[in-house]
Amino acid sequence: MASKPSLKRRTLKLVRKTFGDRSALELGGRSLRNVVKFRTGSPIERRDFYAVRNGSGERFGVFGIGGCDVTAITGAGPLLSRAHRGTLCVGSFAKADHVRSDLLVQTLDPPDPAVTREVVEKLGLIDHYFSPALFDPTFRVPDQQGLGEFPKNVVVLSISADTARTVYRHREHGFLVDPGGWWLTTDMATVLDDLSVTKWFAKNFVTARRISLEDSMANFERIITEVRKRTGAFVVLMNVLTVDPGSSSLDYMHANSPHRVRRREFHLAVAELAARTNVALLDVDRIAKETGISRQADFVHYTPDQKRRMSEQLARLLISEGVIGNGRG
Amino acid sequence: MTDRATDPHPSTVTVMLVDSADVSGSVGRAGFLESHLRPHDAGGSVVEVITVSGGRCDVLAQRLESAHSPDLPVPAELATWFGDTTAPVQLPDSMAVLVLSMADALTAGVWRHRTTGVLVQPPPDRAEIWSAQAEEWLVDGFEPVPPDSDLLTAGVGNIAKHLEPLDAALVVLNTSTYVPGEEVFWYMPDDPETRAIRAARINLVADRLIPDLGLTVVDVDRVMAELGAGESVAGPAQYTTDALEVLAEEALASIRDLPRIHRDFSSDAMRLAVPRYDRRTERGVLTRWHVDTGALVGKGDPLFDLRFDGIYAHLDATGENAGRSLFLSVVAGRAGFVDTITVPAGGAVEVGTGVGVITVAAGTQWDDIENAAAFPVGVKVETRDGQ
Repeated sequence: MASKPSLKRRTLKLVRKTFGDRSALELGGRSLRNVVKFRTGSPIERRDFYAVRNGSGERFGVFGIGGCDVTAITGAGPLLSRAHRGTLCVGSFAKADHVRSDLLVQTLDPPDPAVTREVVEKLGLIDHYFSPALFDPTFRVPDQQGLGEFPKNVVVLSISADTARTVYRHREHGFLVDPGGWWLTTDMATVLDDLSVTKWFAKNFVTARRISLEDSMANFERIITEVRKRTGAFVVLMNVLTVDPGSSSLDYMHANSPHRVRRREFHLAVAELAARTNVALLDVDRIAKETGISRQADFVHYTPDQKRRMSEQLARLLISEGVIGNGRG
Repeated sequence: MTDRATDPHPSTVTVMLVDSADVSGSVGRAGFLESHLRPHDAGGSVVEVITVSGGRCDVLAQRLESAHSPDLPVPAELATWFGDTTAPVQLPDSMAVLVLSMADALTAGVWRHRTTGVLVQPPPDRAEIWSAQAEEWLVDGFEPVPPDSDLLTAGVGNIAKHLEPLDAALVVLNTSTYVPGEEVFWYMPDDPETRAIRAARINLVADRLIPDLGLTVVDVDRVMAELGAGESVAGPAQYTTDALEVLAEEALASIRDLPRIHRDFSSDAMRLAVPRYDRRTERGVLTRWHVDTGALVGKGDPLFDLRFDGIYAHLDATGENAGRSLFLSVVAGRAGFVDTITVPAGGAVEVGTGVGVITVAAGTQWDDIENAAAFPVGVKVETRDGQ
């Protein structure tokens, strides 16, 4: 016999029924609950961040930015907390449609807000889409303002968006934007009923296509330089799985496979970039292959087993390099 | 000599295998290709498998060019070794497929004669079996030739050039980029290239040649990753016996899909079998058919869904996908008619068991289906709520 839903679940159901999913009340309640947990020393674990207060030492922050793949670093939190007496946060900003390298470089010289305001509104972008948030010396966990600010002691940069995303250029003002999955994640009836945004986008933007390997690496080199200069962070590059999980055994016959080729090209270029800029590399390609890719849906979504290994490797790197622990951090 | 252009069924179809560990351990196993490529009838073509000694692609290209290669003054004591790497390779008129491995580019050293330019590939264990004099002769007379991308590209291109007049296909096995024990966090500009990076360069060479040369690449890198390279890769380009068996099936499917092989050896009726997902899955349930008998299916069309017991248990254990089941959707690898369904939805299945029959033409008569070729399929993974 099914058990009766708990009081917590019934309350949540009532709140959602009254105010809708992810209402300010629901998010505020969660945030408050997490702050209480955090202040009492309990870790807060979510897919995209881990935070814990472990004694009265300094704050230490690991900030990851990339596509869905970058959530693989969150599991490093519990491991790093053993090496750090103080407050720790491992946060991953996993938004593939915000983080292609040319979009990040663009934030260093942002377009006029008067021009971009309409774009932010119509495409439902986050408020700081055109702001250089990556290069700020601190970060906050979205929806968890009560946890406070964390320094960017470590910045993990994933290249996955550069291998896959297409961005668009404003015909008049020249700035770039990735509209993301707006047309796909919005109810189809809504989209078809009102095509004004679609028409507006088509009128004002033109595709800038996928980024070239050379441009991407030049952008990342600049990003690494600026992140180091503005935050003092220890920078880690994260590569990407080069093979296609679940592909049919016969799809190589006399066919070009541009995605696989492109990812292999990026894989080699990132190793060269890491050497050139003296940046550590989290080799997720190797870890994913070693663990087994057959349960992956695609090249950028990793399984729990793979994520655990990636987090372990990141923690091992940061501890062995003395970035955290041994009195540092 | 038979006129190849006018005779649609030459009596012998030759598959040449370049003998490296991955080829010889997979499709090169004794009798493997002969038993899987069987003629339509008693008067049909027969497959002939020829193995030539292993070699990096530029060395093999030189051997195919043997008529133009100058003689090399090889000392008598090394003639056995270098005889292998410099002996000419003659392609027979019946040549249909050459199966080449890129593994030697990762693991073998190639040296170029300083004056004649002739390439040689000394045995990898020469430090143990060669005399000091032989080593001195090599170092004095030759220089090492690193496997840079341009060289490998030219090597594969030259091989393809020799195959073209014979209308023969080139099948290339790339190599796993996973190298046990080679975990690297820091790449330094002056450090020697890691083997994993070298393997990635080698695989990129093969990938880039696909559209230009029309070659078929068997993605060993993906196969090993699907099996879990930590278990399936024993060393640089060295794979476990289990992994080589899976690789054999993958390479066989690619060879079967080549037009000439398909024309001469594909049966009109093919066995639709449960594909292997990974080593841990042996038994499961065929949960749903997406097609009925008589349906025409094309490449990529869904055929049936599977749920493997091992996967279901694994997901329950992780908790990440609580309440969800992982399903494998088996899709067609080429076109055919669904002639017969032998296992209905809900039926228990094991990897390799037949669940139906696919025919090339509707209404084709068939028998002895257990010995027929397997219909090529692909596998897609998806999760579904509440099942």
